[in-house]
Amino acid sequence: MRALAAVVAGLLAIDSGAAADPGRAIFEGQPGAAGAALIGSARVPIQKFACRNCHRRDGEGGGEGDAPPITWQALTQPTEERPAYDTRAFARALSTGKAPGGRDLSRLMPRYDLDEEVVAKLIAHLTRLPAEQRAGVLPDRIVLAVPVQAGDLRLAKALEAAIVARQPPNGTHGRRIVLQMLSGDMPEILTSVRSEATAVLSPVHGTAEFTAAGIPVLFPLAAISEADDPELVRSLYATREQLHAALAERARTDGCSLDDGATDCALIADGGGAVVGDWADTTRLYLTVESAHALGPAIVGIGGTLVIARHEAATLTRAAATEQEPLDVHAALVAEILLDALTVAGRDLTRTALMEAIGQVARPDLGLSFRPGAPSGSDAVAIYVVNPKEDR
Amino acid sequence: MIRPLTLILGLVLTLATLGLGAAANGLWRADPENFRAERILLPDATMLDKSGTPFRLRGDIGDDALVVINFSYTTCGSICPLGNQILQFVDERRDEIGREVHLLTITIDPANDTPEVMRASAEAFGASGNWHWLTAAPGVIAEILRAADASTADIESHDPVFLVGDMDTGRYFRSLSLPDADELIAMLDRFDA
Repeated sequence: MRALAAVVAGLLAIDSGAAADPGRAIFEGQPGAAGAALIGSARVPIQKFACRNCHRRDGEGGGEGDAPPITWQALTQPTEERPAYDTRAFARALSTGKAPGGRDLSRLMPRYDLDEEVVAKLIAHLTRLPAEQRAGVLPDRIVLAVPVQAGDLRLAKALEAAIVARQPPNGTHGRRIVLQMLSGDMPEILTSVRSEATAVLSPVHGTAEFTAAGIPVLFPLAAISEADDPELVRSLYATREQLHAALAERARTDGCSLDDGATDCALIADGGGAVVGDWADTTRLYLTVESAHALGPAIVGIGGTLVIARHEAATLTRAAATEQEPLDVHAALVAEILLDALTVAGRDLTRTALMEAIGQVARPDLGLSFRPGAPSGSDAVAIYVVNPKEDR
Repeated sequence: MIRPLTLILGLVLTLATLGLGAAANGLWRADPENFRAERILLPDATMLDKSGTPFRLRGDIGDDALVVINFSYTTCGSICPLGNQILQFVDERRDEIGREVHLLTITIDPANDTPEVMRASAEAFGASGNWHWLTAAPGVIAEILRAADASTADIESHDPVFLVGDMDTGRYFRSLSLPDADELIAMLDRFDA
């Protein structure tokens, strides 16, 4: 049973959340955002053309199309091309495409049909954005939050040791990484992180709650989804979709049928919620480590073989090769990628700039690199074959 | 002193001459705002459509058909979705045009944009059977971009180029900045005239 316990250890369930701030909803394109975008003579849901798509999540602009900065602090400063915006000029620009002074905005900028009240909420969000995006970014340090579960400091200490061992004496661009250990319930942790930390580092639980609050999550322990926003989540490991594909492929090469109604093999997807085949009577059960955890004690009663896929192959393979503790290897990989990313991001650091910089890190020596638009740095999956009865 | 009647007649004659000239040139009369008329000879390159089936860039488009071509890539989160949205509107209004119309979305990131990835994007925009989502080997994409004068070294900073034209004759209108669907339909109508 020890082998099985080791394979299924350290898991979490992922919940969902939603933002309730109308200004943020428009900026980020969240469901329920009020208003419409106008593309030529056609109206489309505003979520399709959220501000952050072009102006970035930090509102600082740049990138494709060279969109200008739209934080309220930037808009209310005059530039060589236009006078300063005020509320009325901003509303007019959104609805007509005319900047203050009469210049036409780029044709890449859609027009928007927004109520006056909604425009005010959007301005409020644009006003808060610079401080929110620079939470935890101080002149001499960057603060990352590490949630501590049930007083277990092993992960937090491993992360701290790995960062300290690799961090230049004067930090990166003059800033040293400081970890803030946080315990308590999720609302308390969210309140602290929202204003005091740039990102959450390697949480065991609650990735969705953090990202729903606009807080980036770096290198969570649980598998993420390919659909996760890489501006809010970066993982070192394979996604849930990749785990599922690897299990299906393994079943195929094992000669197992996973069609509905088959009794010889079964595939359980995330959390035990999606089952292909009748797993109770199966002789070979294919499942992710999170599914194994969700099944709990029932898994021991299975008479057949378990084929378990783990997403943390990048760490597990390295740990096996170097005879190190997986926790220490995870911490080392986190420190390497994080310090590379801070170098790339430069001195003018925002949450969004950090997340984008991680996307530019490529470390083939560590088996990690981030494809454009993908939140995960590795697609490697580790497969373990376990027989619970023989293992007892 | 020029007599007013002579002046007026002269103006009318000048306008008539210009009009005749435009008619003689057909669609090559004065360029519309936001578009420039060009001759482009695209290669008959073998590409892959969203189902992974070989697709000949020219050979699989009928001689009488018109095309609207856009270059994009699926991981582009800003300009490309806007371009695809505009193509979706055109796709829905293809029957307003008197000739067969095909829409071509050609990736400029073939390393990432596999047929499977292109299919997912096509489905997200509800693409009809006449909206082709095409990828190919990097060398083939580079050849097409060169022919279309849409080459780009950095896919992050590409221009949102739309080409509206007739592959058979090589006559196209190139967008100078992002057009809307009404403008693209109007350009297609010029060929119809």
